[in-house]
Amino acid sequence: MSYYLSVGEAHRRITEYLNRFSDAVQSQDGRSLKSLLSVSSPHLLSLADALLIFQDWGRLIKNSQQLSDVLQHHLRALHSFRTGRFVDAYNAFERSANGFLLEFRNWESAWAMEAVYAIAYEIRVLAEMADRELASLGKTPEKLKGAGSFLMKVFAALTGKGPKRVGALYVTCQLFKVYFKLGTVHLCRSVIRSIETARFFDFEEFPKRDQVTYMYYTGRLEVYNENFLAADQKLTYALKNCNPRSEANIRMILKYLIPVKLSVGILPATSLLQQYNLVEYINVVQALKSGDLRLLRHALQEHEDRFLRSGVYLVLEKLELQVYQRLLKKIYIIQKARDPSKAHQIKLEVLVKALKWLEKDMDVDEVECMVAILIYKNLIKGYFAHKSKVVVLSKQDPFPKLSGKPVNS
Amino acid sequence: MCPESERQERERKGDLDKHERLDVERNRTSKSLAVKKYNRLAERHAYLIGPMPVLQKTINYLLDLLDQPYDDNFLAMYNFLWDRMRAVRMDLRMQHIFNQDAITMLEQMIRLHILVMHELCEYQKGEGFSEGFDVHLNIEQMNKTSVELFQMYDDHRKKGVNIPTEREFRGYYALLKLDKHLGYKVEPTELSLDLAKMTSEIRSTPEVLFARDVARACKMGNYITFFRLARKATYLQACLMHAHFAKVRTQTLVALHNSLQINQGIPVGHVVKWLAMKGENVESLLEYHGFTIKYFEDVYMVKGPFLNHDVDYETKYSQLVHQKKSRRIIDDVNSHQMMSLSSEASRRMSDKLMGRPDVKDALLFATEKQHWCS
Repeated sequence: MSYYLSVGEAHRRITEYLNRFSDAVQSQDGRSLKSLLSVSSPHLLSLADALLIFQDWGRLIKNSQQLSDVLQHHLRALHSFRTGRFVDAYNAFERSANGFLLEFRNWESAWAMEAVYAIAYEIRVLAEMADRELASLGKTPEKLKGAGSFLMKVFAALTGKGPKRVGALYVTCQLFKVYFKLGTVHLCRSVIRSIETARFFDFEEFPKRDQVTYMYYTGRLEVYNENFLAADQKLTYALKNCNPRSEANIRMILKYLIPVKLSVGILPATSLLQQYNLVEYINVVQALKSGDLRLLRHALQEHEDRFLRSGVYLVLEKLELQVYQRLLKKIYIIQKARDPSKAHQIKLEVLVKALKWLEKDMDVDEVECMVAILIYKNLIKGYFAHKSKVVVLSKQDPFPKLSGKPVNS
Repeated sequence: MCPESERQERERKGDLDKHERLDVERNRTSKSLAVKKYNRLAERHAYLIGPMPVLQKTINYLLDLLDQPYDDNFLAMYNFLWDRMRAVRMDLRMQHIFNQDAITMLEQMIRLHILVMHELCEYQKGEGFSEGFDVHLNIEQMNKTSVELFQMYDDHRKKGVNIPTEREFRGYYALLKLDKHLGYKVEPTELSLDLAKMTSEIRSTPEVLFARDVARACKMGNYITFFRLARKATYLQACLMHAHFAKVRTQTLVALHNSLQINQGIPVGHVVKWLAMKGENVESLLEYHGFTIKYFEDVYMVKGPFLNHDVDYETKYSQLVHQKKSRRIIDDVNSHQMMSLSSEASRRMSDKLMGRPDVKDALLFATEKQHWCS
């Protein structure tokens, strides 16, 4: 297409863009400004083509033009982006963004918030593309880290008392995305503290969209730190408030909420797992239902990469205790069917054999150890008689349900 | 091994380590004794940075000091080595030296950092003992060195070169991260994130699998598996696991306490076996947590009110770990302590191939032949 563009047409497109930019700033129209700043969106494609044809575009930006410096770098970013030079595009965009932020700080009202959103989004996306380019050249990817520092500056510009605060959560979410991608999640902490201790702003006053993203990421952090109650609360909030038509987002939330729910003893229906294509959890759930330790181990091995990457592996590994509980309960039920009066006594030897069948080689010492742990964690009520190698189950509620509470640690 | 200007200045100030003094004099050293000290500030003059041949000579000299048995001098020697090795690392970093020789140096340093964790555990820095062993600093340096080392491995991998010792050190690092330590905080996510960053080949090496098994046993409180793994461990792996011995033992006693009826007991001999305390003062640990020792035909620990729930019994030197070490320190710092492909790893392989019979059948089978106790 671009090859058929005449110089005159290119010139016209560029001046039109500059005029629209000036108008948007003059009339404080944040929404229009937003679409003019979105380098990676297809809106600006025709302008980018024009920049390729009319090489001398820099001349068209007059010094009298508002934000002329910002525009210079911005158009250079667009130009580089169109020719696939993403590192150059990022560098120019960062300069433009810095210039814009400088102006934005001086504006009292929050009219340009939409534009700031666009910049916060674009800088992250451009940085990711630039880093891929750097990596392919055998260089160290460092732009996303740079984008993180820039976003921190934006965050600082928003967190004061005043109307701009409403944008703080959006920028926070972009920062989360950067930190999660870089694997530096500990950096989230200071941002979270600043959001959660703020006295100027009620969380409920932030846009719903940002609340959901925020709860999703902080929920994931709680999963990482094995705070299952907090994780449950945050991810459930995200699930309840997210757009019910966005299947992809629901799936992302469930990917973390399911292991959390499993950890507190709540199992999902298989149909839910199928509906959202979370089939990697099917055997994990099955193992919990049937007390099948081997099935749990196999499920973890089969999806090891996926579970490790999403950070739920160690959480799922911990479910082993609940599977042991289920296994004991099964033995108890079978014994009860044979002789109810003796059902509450389980010989460790029986457990050893059941485990052997599950290809788990454990001797009496180790089985006794497991039982002691189960009793200590309140997954079994009872005591063991060390000498006769028997577990004596409590007659009342020998297998307490977790019902929404995590296993004691 | 030490720039002349620094040597003269330190002579003047009497800032010489015991190992650097000539004829025990506070203000005299020599070319062959003085070793460049660690300096937090980057060198202002390039000529003060030791080139690779000098660094290699320095390391060889420092390691030669370790060519002797473990003895009471070790703490002082470690305090000297710790600092001078750090200086070597600084110079390597400044010159971007990533070659195999640099890798070997960092590996030797890490092995030293690991073995002191056990060897010096009873010499910990504290009130009135400022010359003591600083667990926190030691782990911090081990951590930093490991991160640098892994960058070197990754760099080599990018060029298509795999360093065979990588799995040994990835395994140590995973053991280091398995849970929080005395004076060193590890967040639960760290191990998980580290595992996710490893290539799947490294992740399934015997060393890393071993560390993961240890982590699972430790977190679950499975004291039987934990101490069985400690028996199987190489010396250095055992030194890293040792940091968790006290905690696992306390957890065990809490669990046993919960599972016993009042006045019921367990033979102390069993506990000694379970907790790998042969040759150690197990009775004092049991009494610390409120068990009483009674003599019937055997020695029993009997349940009383549990004490000191929140405070682990003090970390002591372990006989189990002690038995694993070499006669000379240098041998433990130099040797590659790699595991053979363990039965565990091969079990995991065969798991993938085998089908699985139904659990219920298994239980029926298991209960069939039982005689129930009344």
